[in-house]
Amino acid sequence: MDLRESYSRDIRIFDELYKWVWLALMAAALLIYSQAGGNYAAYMLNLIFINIIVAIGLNILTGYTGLISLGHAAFMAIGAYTSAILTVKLSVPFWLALPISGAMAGLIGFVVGLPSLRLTGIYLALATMAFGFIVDEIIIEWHAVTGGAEGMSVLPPTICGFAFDSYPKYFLITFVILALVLLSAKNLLRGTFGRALTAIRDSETAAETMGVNLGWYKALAFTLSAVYTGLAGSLYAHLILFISVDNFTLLHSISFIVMIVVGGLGSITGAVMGAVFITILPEVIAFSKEWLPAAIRNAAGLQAAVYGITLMIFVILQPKGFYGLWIRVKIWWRTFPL
Amino acid sequence: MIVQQIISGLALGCVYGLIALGFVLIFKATEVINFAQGEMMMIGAFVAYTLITMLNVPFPLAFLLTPIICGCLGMIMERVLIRPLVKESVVSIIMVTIGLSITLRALAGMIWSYDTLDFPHLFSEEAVHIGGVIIAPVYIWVIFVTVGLVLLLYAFFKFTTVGISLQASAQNPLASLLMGISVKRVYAMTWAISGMVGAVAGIIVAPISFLNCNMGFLGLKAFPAAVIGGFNSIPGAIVGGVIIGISENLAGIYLPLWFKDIFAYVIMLLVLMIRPEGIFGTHEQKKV
Amino acid sequence: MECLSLKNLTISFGGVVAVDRVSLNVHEGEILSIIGPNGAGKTTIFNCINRLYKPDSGDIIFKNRSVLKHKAHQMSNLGIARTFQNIELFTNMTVIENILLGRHIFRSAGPLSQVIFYGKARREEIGHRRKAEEIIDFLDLQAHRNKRIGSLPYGVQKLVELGRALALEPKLLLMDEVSSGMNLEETQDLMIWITDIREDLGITLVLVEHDMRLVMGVSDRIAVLDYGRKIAEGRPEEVQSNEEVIKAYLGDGDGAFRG
Repeated sequence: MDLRESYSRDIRIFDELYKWVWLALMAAALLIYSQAGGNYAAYMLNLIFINIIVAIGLNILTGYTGLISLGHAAFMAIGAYTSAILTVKLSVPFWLALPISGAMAGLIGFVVGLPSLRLTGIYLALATMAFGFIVDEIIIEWHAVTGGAEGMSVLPPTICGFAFDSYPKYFLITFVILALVLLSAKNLLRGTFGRALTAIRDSETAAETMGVNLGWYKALAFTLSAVYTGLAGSLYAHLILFISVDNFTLLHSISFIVMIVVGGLGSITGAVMGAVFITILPEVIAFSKEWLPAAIRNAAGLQAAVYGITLMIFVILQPKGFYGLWIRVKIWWRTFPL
Repeated sequence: MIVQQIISGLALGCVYGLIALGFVLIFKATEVINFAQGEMMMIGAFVAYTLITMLNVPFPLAFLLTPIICGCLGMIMERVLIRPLVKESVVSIIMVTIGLSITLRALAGMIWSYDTLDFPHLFSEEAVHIGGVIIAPVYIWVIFVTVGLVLLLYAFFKFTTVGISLQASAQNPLASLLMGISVKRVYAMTWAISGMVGAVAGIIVAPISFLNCNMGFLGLKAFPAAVIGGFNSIPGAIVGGVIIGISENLAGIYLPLWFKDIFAYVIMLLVLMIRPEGIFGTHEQKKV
Repeated sequence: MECLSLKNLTISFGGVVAVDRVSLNVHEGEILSIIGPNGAGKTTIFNCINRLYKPDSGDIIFKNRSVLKHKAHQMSNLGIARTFQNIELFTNMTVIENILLGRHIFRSAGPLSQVIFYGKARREEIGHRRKAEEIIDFLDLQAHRNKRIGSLPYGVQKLVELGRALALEPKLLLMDEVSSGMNLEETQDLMIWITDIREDLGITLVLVEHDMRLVMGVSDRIAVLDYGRKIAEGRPEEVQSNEEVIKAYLGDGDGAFRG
């Protein structure tokens, strides 16, 4: 039974102290594992954390505000290429390139978000899809700047002379950035801003009547979402050290959507769960190939098929995603008759 | 040369239009956007290919069987995937059809491999002279089939009981239910017809384009077609498709080649900005 | 002092004139009810005041300023709040979150403060919560504080809409058929709340209603609409005995059905 005695208890992120302790323990465990668990584990952890940032970004737009984006990989590409061009061609230090990449993506996000007032549902989905295609094409054609279809090499970042040139070392950066993203997102979403976004999702008419400027907030949602996704793009570029258009296609945009749907729309915890799921899935598929009949095992499209089937199953049977399942388990646990 | 491009654009545009027609049918009847429409076209092409080359079915028979098979597939998809989501939000339904399109593409890859296959040519390669213009016969075939199919559908919707009941359900499901029309059956029929239309599109496009499991990407071009024509307009879908097909080719002549790939989407964005309902579509406003 | 004035307000939809040159004055601090058969244009008038619709001609003056220059989302800043006939609540949020949205126009902490959520943003949020709780107390919604809208009975949802509108601290409150779906007891409670809102909070009220007991019980004045035109206006007793009004509701003496 939780008795609340003050309003500040109502608005805390975690209402019980022990949850903070759990979080700290998990964070410590992840850090230790990243340093001691070997290169492969560190790489996977980096990838998971980057995907979490993307998932949070997309969730703000689709889960909280209800705006569909089928072109989010484009924002990641903008972040990645901006960071790559800044560090490689203009010798900008990484600690500066990272926020600039986020800002650049955010700026484009704002421009994309402005006309979104007039587009709803499927029309917005199509417009963002077209946006994604156009960005990809621009990257391919702007050979001089982006290296065109052949892609671009990126160097591992150095900060103050310390080179983050291994996966465990790079994880330290990803960890810090994710912590900042998580905190800032949670704070923005639990206050006036987050409520305004969900109001837009649930009833635009009522939101307007309550004084929410629809066009402005939709553009802001796009901007914030793009900033986070752009940051993730920059981190991604400096992780895999070689980027090309093939890393940011429509299929990637769709996999982002799978992430947040499977994780649970409209919740940060859901975004985390979804990101973990999607990052680990290819490994699970590769791992379980031994038990599959030969015809399926060797098929190149197996991963895509699993994505597609997973998406369909979750939307139909478990629309609240893993997070919804988690809540149900918690409720079952709490109401267990013993 | 320009006329050549216009003719081939017209033919390709007919295919875009047919796929868009498949969307619009489903959208009008059920308010669902079927992202997998392009994949339905792909499956149609593959099924026809299998019938003709592997089972040695004569072409006319294959032409009849394929839509029937794909129609059944459409009904199954509706029953299993879409029916459970009748009351859900747009987001959910879009996700499911996206998932469907990915899955279908991957399954096709598994069944028919990822190579590009050679669809049997039915017409001679020799061009035909019509009114001073040189046209490859296969293009005439495409246009002919499209027109024929559209007329057939028009007659179906206007003159048969089933067709009229489909229209009624699209406009007012509740009233239709009260009139004794089984709305469930209507949904199933709509998806079946869309599947058939998609199959026909696949059969006619395979000879003029390519046949592999990424064909569904052609289907993506049908979105601009549907947007231009208007998402709830059946003639609009064909008109939109033809506009896209022709202007794409013309863009290829006058603009740098790389622009041609995204030209359709640029047009779509412009239309969405200026007049989202498209040429023939109608704008709905919610009543508070 | 006129709080709100409609001057020859006209709007039509696709050839059908929904509101036909309606002129109406709402005095400061009064409770005015608008009644009339269904389809008479009552909700349409609200939608025009609210700027959800754009009238074809005529003017809407609120506190000596024309409202037509403003956009829909600016109306709450001016001090006009409303409830909706078909309930436009945020269905995926809880009761308190819905009411908190009514406090949206009172936000002043900048984005940076919100991101860190310390200092000003935090104090503001606590202040909003306090205000929301006051409204919950006022409307006896304590039992439903943390429940999602979807799980609430219809009558309670109507109250939550009312609470959300009150959170705006408006000067003018438009209530659209709040009593529909309420039983006798709930309606009586509503009547008390309506008078309390006017007495304690000093808000001018315009009601669209069908429940005659409620209308006769709380209204200072009544306006009657039929087919988009105003056919009567005045004190409840005057309107009750007005011939045109009786004809509109009950039909002509010769027994023919209207329209």
